[in-house]
Amino acid sequence: MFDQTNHESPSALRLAFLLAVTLVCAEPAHAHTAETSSGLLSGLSHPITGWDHVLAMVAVGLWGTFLGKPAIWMLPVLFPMVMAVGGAIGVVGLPLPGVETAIALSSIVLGACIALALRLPLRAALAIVGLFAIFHGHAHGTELPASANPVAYAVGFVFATGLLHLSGIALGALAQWPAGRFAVRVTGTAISLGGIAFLVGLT
Amino acid sequence: MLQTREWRAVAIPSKVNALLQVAAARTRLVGIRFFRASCLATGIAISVPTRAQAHIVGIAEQVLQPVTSAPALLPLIGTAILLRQSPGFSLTRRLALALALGLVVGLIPRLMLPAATANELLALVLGVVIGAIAATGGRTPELIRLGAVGTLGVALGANLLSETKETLDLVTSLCSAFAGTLIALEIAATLPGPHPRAWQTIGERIAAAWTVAIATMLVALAIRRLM
Repeated sequence: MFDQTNHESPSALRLAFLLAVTLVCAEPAHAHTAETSSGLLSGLSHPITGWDHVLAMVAVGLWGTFLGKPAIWMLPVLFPMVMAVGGAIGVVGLPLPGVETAIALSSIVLGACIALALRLPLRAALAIVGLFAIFHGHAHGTELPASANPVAYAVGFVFATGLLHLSGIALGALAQWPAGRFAVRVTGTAISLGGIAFLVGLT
Repeated sequence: MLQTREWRAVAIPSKVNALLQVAAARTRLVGIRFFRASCLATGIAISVPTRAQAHIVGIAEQVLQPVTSAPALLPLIGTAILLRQSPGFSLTRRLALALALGLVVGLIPRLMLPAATANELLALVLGVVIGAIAATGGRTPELIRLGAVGTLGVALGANLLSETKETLDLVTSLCSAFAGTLIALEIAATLPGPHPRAWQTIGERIAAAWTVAIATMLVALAIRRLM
């Protein structure tokens, strides 16, 4: 039925392009506003309209690439599921302490893991990512707009989150070359510094 | 050959049988047995005597109901991915029976629960469960596959598209949903080809995780509506 020949070689390039587009689209100041728009576009735009979320989610993909198989796909599998649980907690109105601090910490910790090329055991990596995913999800859940179409919103939201992970994985693919590995570790440092900036309230 | 004989016992005329075989062979997507089973269920649904009033919900909408509403579609995707993870998968008679049984069981909340939101909530929770099993991956035993298909049936039955709660309407809708689900499952579970690559398997698990995430968010929104 389908052509079984190998066509996947340009995919890293495509994903890198997607990363560039995603990062360009991210706006720093508009995160967590109580927007009232609805639907797919609203869901798609929500995760990418805040650098704190963008950095952490790209970092998840990047770190997964550094850790190799099976973390490269297990982290992006785990993150949206746990994030949705956090989102559900936020939607039903249950409070969670220190959400913004935890989100900033997620960038710091994940960025540091990449910068130091830290190879933690898979379970520890899953636990760290899962813990931060709850806080990211809670932040999104509490700021969920009064959407006219919750299905479209949820689809867009999860899709955008997944694309951010894929962007991180695409960027992490550079690590197969020595110069690329250095660049990825520098990116991790930048993510970590970004997290510190969020923590001290510079952005 | 044995399977062909079994289905002949359902008394499909030989010419119709031959036509169905040709159609199934041409589609190359749907197994002949289930293509026939689906056609049979659709035929029963269509042949149910029509009443005088105009139908608001048509047969096509009822057949397509597994793929046109989120509470039904999310468990369907999860189930298809789960079935897909078994090498050499094909829909068996047991799976079809589990689906039929699930659909009938799903009618209980459909008839008992007053609010549509509650039925949606039930289907979405079942979608979360099925999707989570699919996202964990690995080869699943037949019992879990049967359970997943049965659960899918419950989710569909709970949100059955029917004009009224009269027996005739419900039977028509059940047959339509059964046919539509069998076709959708067969296509979704076999579409990527018989020998998926490693990245396809990973992609399927990521898709299952996304299904869980979407269903979880919709569960939360449904709870907020009920609160």
